[in-house]
This record gives sequence, structure tokens and C-alpha cells, in this order.
Amino acid sequence: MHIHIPDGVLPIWLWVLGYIVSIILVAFAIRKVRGQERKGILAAVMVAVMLVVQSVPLGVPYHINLSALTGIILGPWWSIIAILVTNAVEASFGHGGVTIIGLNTMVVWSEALMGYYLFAVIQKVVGKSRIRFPLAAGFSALVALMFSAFFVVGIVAVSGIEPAQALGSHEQSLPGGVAQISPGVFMILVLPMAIAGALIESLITGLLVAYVVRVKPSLVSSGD
Amino acid sequence: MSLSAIYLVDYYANSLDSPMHRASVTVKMISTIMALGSIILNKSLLSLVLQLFLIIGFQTISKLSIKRLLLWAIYPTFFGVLFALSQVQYSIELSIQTILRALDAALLMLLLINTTQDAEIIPLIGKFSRTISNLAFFSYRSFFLFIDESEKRLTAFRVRGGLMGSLGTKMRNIGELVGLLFVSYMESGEKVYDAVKTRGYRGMFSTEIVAGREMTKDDYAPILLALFSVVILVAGIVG
Repeated sequence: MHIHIPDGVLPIWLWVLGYIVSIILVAFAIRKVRGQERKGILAAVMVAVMLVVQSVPLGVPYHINLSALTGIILGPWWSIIAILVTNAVEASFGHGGVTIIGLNTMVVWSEALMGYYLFAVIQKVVGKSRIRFPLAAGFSALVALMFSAFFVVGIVAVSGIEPAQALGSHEQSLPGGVAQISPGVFMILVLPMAIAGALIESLITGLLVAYVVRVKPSLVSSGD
Repeated sequence: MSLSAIYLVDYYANSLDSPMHRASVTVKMISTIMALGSIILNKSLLSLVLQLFLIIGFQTISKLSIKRLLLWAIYPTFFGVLFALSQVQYSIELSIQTILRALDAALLMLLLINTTQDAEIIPLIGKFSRTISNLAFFSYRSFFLFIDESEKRLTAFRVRGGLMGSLGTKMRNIGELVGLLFVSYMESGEKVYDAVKTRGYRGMFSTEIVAGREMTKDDYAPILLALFSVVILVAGIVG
């Protein structure tokens, strides 16, 4: 899941807060990854992979990110740095607003973080095997993507995007406050696409992990 | 924006010559931030239209294809249209503003990226974090290698009959191809790492900006862009 809100729509305090939180997290992550050069190269590869898969047109306004897979392969700290770079590159190409890079980093990282920890927990519970690996990865991706869909709805709800405010008008003449975009309506609009997208992405994640486990298993366990 | 379009962006940034291309990357970044701020804060329809013409004007000066850039800006603008549709019942003007703001911001970012080489942007990032600048450097270059690799393997896949057979066979073959590509990306990344390590890489590339660069007359191009953007914003507020 990736927020595609254009610049100038979200309230300034929200996207500034998104930047502040992301910068703090990334600064912490940079300290944590010090000395892990080899994984840094993997992170660069994952950035390129995310950019490639995001460029693949699916015919609907949805694209896969492979963020849960990124979390599984890179672990939580390299993944947030990789996601920040991916979002910044995307925004510089006009894909997604520049103002929402911080919020998008948090949203996509939530998928990577949840994917990484769920995958680790499932492995501990059910054990490691060539069949269980892809199932665990696919399931982790599905749960992580569904979680991030609610995260996005939460951001829109918190933003309280109101046309009258966006217009710069202080009039309160809009009927019964209905000008505010209802989070419920937004969820109804977004969730079907999010579920469909999450199913596709979790399937791809599972299939990719199945292949990787078969030919290069060290890659999947590198997130440990 | 398709994969091949990114090649074109790289070509525009590296091969074209204009005052915007020659201007200092620092000045361009600061000017872009100022112009973007003006777009975000702009609440006047006329001002946003003027802003659009200003950016298109600078794209023309930069010898960029306006048609192509407008085409690339469709994707981000599409999401502006979605928001605009949710606002149209309250105000048509607000809806048009949302679309224009999305279009202006996308075209502005495309102006920056099409006139600035990655080799200029990455050292600037390195002033804040070398980890991020190194990651951006490796990723950006890897991206082009991967596209080449993907195209080669896709051609081989087609020639060898990867798309023949039943639907199940095709799906399995495509799945294997995607997996193969993924692993080959990872392996090429590791090869790059081993190659740079043998040449002395210990986690950091030198990403220093050439210090003490004097301002040139080319730097006035992005400064003018920022200045006009602020003037348009102020005129919109006052008017």
C-alpha cells in the first residue's frame, strides 16, 4: 500500500509530522546498520527491485511494492532506509507527492516491519521447511498489507481533509459537516482494491520466496 | 511512467544542454523546494494556471519535450483527479485547483529530474547521510542494469517457448522467470559488492561536492523560477 495523495491536499502539520518521525527512525536505522556493508548492497538491489515492480502497469491504479519481502530479506533497519530511498526516487519522478514521502515511508515500512516479524514468528512456531517458508512469507505479506491499508485509512481520517479548509474559506456553511471525507466511505472505496492488491502481492511474495528457498536459501534467512 | 521512460529521463538529464542543466544542483534544489512550497500554499485558480505556464516555459527553455512530460505527469495527476471528484460536489473551483496542484507539482519534479544528473544529486544527499547517498548511488545504477537483464532474459524466455502450453504451464514458467530474475538481481548486487570491495570499498564512496563553486549566470534560471513562483503565490493571495 502506498499513499498517492497529491501535494497540497494533506494538512501541513500531518506531512511535516510524517517527515519528522521518518527522519528520526531513519537516523536511528543508520546507526543500527553501521558496518553491514554487504546487506547495504542487498538494500540497494531491493530499492531497484521495488522501483522495477512499481513501474509494472497492472491496468488498475494499484502497484505492488514487495515491501514485506523487503522486510524479510533486509530486516527492519535496512528496510526503512531502502523504503525512504525508493519513495524519494518515485516522488522525484512525479509518482506520489513530495510532501508525503515521510508518511509513505512510515506506511510502507509498517508492511516491511510486520512482514519481517510475522515471518520470524511463524517460522519459530511451525518450523522451517521448503514448503513452510513460502507459505509463511505469503501469509506475512497478506497480514502486513492489510494492516497498512488500515494505516492509510487512519492517516486520511486523522488528516480530516475538508474541502472548505482546503479552499482557504473559513465559512461553516457546508451542510451538517458532511464536507469532511468520511473515513468509513474512504475505507469502502479503498479496501476492495487493497484486498485484491494484497492477495496478488502476497501470492507473488510467496512464489518468489519458494523459488529463492530452492535456489538461494541464504537470501531469505539473511533477514535474521 | 514506463521503464523505458526512465532511460529517457537519464538521457535528458545527461545529454541535453540548457541553463537549467548547467545550473548548480544546490540552487536547483532550493529553487524547486521554494516553487513547490508556492504550489502547495497556492489557493488561487488563476495563480495555479500561471504556475503551470511558468513550469512549462522553463521546460521549453530546457529543451524538454512538453508532450512527453505531460504524458508522464498523467499518473500523479490521476490521483489528483480522484480527490477532485470527491470535492466536486462542494466546489468545482476547488476540484480544478486540486488537479492543477497535482499537475504543477508533478511537472516541477519532472523539470528537476530531467535537468539534473544523478551524479550531481547523490553527492548533495551525501552531505546529510553517506549511507543514504551510497544506497541511492548503487540503486540508481542497479536499476538500469536490471532493466537490461530483464529484457535479455525476457527475450530468451519468449524464444525458448516460455509462453507455450496450457495456462498452468505458462503461469508456472512466468513464476520461474520472475524468481530467476529476482535471484539474478541479488547475485549481480553481490558481485558488484565483491568487485568494489576488492578496489578498497569499506562501506562508503567518496561523495564530496566540489567545494567553493562560484555562482554562474546559469544559476539565475532556477532562481528566476523560484522568484516567479513566489510572485505568483503572493499575487494570488493579494489579488
